[in-house]
Amino acid sequence: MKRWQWLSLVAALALFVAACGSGTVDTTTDGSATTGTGAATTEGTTATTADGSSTTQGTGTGEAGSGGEFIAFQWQGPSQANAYLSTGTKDLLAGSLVLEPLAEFDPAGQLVPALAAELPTQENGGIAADFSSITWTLQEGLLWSDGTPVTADDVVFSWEYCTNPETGCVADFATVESVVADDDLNVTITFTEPQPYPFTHFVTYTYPILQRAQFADCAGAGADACTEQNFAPIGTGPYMVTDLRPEDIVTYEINPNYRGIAEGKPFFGSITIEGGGDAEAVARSVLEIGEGDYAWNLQVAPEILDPMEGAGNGVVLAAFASNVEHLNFNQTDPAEDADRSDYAGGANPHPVFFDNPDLIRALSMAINREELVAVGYGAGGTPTCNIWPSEPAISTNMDACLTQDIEGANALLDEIGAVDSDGDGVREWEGIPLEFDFVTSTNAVRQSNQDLIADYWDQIGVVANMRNEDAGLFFDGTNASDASIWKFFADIQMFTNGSTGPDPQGYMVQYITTQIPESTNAYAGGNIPRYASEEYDALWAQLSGMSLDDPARNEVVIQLNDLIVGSGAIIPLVYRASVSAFANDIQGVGDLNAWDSEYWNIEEWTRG
Amino acid sequence: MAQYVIRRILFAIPTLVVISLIIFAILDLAPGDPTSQLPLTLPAEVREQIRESLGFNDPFIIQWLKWMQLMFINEPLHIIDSIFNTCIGDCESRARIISWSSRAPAVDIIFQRLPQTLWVLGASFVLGILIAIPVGIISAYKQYSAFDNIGTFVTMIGYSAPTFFTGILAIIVFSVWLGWFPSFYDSTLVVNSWDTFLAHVKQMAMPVAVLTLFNTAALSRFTRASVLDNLNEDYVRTARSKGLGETMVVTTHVMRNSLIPVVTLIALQIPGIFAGAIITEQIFRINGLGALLITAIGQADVPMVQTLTFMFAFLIVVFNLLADVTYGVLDPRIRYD
Repeated sequence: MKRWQWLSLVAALALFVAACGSGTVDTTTDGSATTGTGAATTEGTTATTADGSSTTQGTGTGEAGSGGEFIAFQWQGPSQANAYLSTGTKDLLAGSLVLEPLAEFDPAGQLVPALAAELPTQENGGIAADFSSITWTLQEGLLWSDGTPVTADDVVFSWEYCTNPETGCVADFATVESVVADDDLNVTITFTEPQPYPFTHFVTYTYPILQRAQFADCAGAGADACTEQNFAPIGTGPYMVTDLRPEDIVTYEINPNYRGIAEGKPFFGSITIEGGGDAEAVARSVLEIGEGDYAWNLQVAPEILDPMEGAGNGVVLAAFASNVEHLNFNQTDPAEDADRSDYAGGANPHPVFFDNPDLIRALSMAINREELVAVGYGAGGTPTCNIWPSEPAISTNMDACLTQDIEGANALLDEIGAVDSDGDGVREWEGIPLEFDFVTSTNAVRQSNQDLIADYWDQIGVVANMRNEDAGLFFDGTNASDASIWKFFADIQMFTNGSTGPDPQGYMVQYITTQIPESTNAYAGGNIPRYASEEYDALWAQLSGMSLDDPARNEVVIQLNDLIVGSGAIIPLVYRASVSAFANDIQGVGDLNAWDSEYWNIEEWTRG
Repeated sequence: MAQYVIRRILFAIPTLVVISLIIFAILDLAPGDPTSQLPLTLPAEVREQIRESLGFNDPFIIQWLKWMQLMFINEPLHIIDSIFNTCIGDCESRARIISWSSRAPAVDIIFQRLPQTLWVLGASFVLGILIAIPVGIISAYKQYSAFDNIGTFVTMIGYSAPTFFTGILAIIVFSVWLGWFPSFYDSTLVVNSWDTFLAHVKQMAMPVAVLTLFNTAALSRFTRASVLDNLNEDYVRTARSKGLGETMVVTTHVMRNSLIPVVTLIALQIPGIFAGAIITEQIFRINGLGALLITAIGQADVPMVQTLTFMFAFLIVVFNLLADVTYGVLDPRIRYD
């Protein structure tokens, strides 16, 4: 008996040893192998999927799909591929390989046509003179992946699908009155009121075009039975979904009816999106081990990411859109009483922060933004003093905040009368000690930044009591949790917000007075610091009436930015980038796209 | 015994109903928002509409009763239909429990994830038993010998070192430096040739090793203690004085009696296989049931969390009963009535 116990042990060990013999690793079912040294080589780039993904479509070079498999790591795995039901960017990305909108943004934030033949303008008659409607024209000869033609009716259907209240669509069509197909190729969107910026709907990967034939029964209450459609939508993009396992893996193969096939695009015959793990693990896979070609959303501290990039297998790209990590200063009083953090028409001001721009400017002067970036973001962030940080309306008026000035902050506080009268090391404002609740979400980078900021303020006699809340509660839109940012039951908050598009109008609107969230309106509204300014409201009303080519438009945006940042409601900290990694041999990517899908030009990507 | 089993089974049913009610109540009371990962600039009205369409705002009793009907009637019917290729009742448009994050039937996703959990955790469980029992028996037999001391040392390390440490260490050594094994688990790998079999073994090697170390530790200590208890019994002395060889004494007499509590322990640990080793799954990106539970909790995907936790509760109740029955069968001294 003793013998067989030993034998079974030896057998188990033998299995182990057999597994680690050769020194090469098959990480995929296809041919791309990595060698023992960790350098990624692709031995044989011939198509290796079971049905032979190298297509023979068209009379062209026949190169489309000859590039083999492309492995992408999205550590937040996609749950499904229908953008209109997405629970986050991960789903939008998975869908963007298959579904396309009428137009998309390039990395510079410029609109380029996708399914549309050209961009509508007032000159070509696409945009009505009074901005009340916009007419898009589809390209000729567009085919869905099942071979049927794409028509304007599909655009109409996409609108019907999303505006059916029981669908639970995540895209916003509130300003759209109607979407009508003028003929097979032309569709007109009419707005409820004039929109000088009419390029919101059916633009970017948030608003793709769905096929009416496939999704016809899926609008409204029928949405629950449409798993097949949501997992494998029929689209016009370069790829089709072959298998989708929620939050696990998505596999694609080339779309034989893609319009670029004749030109040999796309290069890769199949795509695999692997989900799971965390940002550090996927960064390691691509940069150190060489197991994959692309890793998305690398929110990794620079001290970990930089050495990984140094391994030499891949490169880290960063792209800036408009995301700014910032501090919100509660302009209302979060004391635990009946109207906690309620604006109440101005009857509940914060005892220290309300109408106290100099005090908050002193707090801003004490912060060393360079250090925040060096510790938390590296190449994925840059210091900023603007809440609207993007072209073409970048303000330079607030840039004094970029230099840390502890003495200046102390002097300013002394000057405005916030002195330490009782000698306990903490200043007071009108008798109230400058001691505040400072809240953010639970996240290693945020906590290290919180720590640094609390330390800077300690040097000017201000105490910040740090707290962190679980991200699910912090961003809980039902506001069932007292930790939610909209309730703002604290003095100071820190998180990131950013516009979903390069147009500032739709973003700066969130700081007007009618957007203040409070208990009487179920905390619905984006003006989280509860900033109420008639001047800001008037300026924004002015902006919303200006046409896009009005030269004074940028100036108004800059004024809005300066107004709210100067008022003390917000202190911007870091202008944050999207950070992703690519293997060295992937070419044709160009700049990383932070305004739209990072896969936006995947048909151009090749392996060199 | 039969009466006892029937009584336990009948008891299990209200137990499970109460468990589902408690799980539901806790999840309903806990704050969470299925739209929390959407952009902040999404208007509150749109978010509210999404929640409305998911059934988030329905009163808790309504949600529970709906779920009960789906879980106890519709889902079992669906399973029967898919196994036996039948069509009971309205099989085309039968309502299923829908996950809020993927809008797909929750049970389908669970069964999709089951293979990788069972492969990795099942393998480490079986391997752990195969290693732990011999090690435990030998350690007890040769108490305080070099083997025993080394065994104690190794199991102590295996039990104390957290899997997120040993896992990352294994990845650094075997994936980054040596490049022997992949650092992630490909769940679409179909084993149909020697190469793919080898690839499957390679992607399983590290997580299985890490988990086996952990499993072996506890089980071998327990086995050792149980064997030590039995080595000093009178019947062992009787067997030796009858002239039986040491091998016979240990394997036929001691081992059988020592393994009774060990088998019970093993039966109670089996539900743990399904729950998955959450940390190990996260580190090796195995995307099994543990990872599914964590993601669902983070996304406030209430139907998925409920279905999963109920499934684990069901397994625990079943294997509890199984452990008691096994104990009664193996040990004739135990009488249930």
